[in-house]
Amino acid sequence: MIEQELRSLEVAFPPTPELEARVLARIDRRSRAWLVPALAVFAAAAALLAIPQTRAAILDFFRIGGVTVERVQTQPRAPATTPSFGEPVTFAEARDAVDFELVVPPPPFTTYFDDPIVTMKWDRYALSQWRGRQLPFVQKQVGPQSMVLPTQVHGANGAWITGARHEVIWQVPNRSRIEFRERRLAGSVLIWERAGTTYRLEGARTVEEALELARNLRRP
Amino acid sequence: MVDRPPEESDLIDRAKRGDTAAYGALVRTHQAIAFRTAYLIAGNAADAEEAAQDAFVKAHRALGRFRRGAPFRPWLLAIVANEARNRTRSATRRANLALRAADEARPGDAVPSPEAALLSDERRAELIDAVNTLREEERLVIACRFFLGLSEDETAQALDVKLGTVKSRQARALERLRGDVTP
Repeated sequence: MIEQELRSLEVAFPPTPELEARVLARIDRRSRAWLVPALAVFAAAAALLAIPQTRAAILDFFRIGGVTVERVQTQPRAPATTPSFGEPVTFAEARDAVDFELVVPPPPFTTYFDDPIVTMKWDRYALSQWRGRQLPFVQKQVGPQSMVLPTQVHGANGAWITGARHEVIWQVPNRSRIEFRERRLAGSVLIWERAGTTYRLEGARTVEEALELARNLRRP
Repeated sequence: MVDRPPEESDLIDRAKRGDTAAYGALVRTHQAIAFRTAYLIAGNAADAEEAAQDAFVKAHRALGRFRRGAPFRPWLLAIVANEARNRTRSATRRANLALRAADEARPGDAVPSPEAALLSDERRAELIDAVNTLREEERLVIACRFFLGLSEDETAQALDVKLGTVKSRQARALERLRGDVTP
């Protein structure tokens, strides 16, 4: 039987390297950024229901990748905090920290990482990218003065949100409890999704400018 | 047959709760099969080592998505194989991996294993040559199934193909091998 012979054929493999110590060292560095997605989904739903005016006032609702956009009549008051995109990191560190291929704007740019979101900032723009499934609970609340314009971003489904500032709530599970990571007002943004990755571009003044910026993103 | 130690699901639960020692035990258990799977796909030891290491880090991060009670190995190997494939794609340095038989008389290995003793040196060389002349996709299936001992399901996950594709490639490859080696 050839199957039997193949099974008993000992093939030479290079010696297996000891991976444990190196793997654990890398895990340790990032363990504080540990996410529990199942809990997160549940908690995001719970948090949404916990805001009565939100529950009553949802007029419109759609999802693009990892972003849920809701139209509400009354925006919950949000502190106008300075946008924080996490820790400054090198591009290589960000690339190693995520399991998808990043795109980059024309250099120079600075890179920030707030697991699992990678953000690049340049000029007055900021591009955030993350795997949709990793963060199913980014929530945008769009007030009555905002316009949500569904648009194609070079073949991908997206939306241009403009007209008034809108609130972005990013939530992060902290082991057992959920806390708001950030609650701030953002200007116009273009969001789109391609192959499971969600992109969010902030800082463009017009949809044309945003689309032009999106066109110039490259794989490094 | 997946050889899963009884406490594996326990280790996974502990690792999910942040117990790195438990994850370390999982790495030790699976590092050889992970490295070898990566080696078959990437074609060289350096890329295989990197791929396996990255895969363990990413698997740890994705543990929250791991379904409780599911076998860990096929899930891990799918991540490993993906890492290995990414390296071959990005580096365009895909070496056509030529497998070779382990040396019969290895230093410190006075008695050949009973399995190796079943085959003569010439027969081993003949078989390996025949496997090496298979088409890449068929050779990978043969290597995963018979040299790594993966199940058909695990092979399908590792090679990112359908189960039916594994079966048909395996059947074709075996057919070819039967024709290539002396009966």
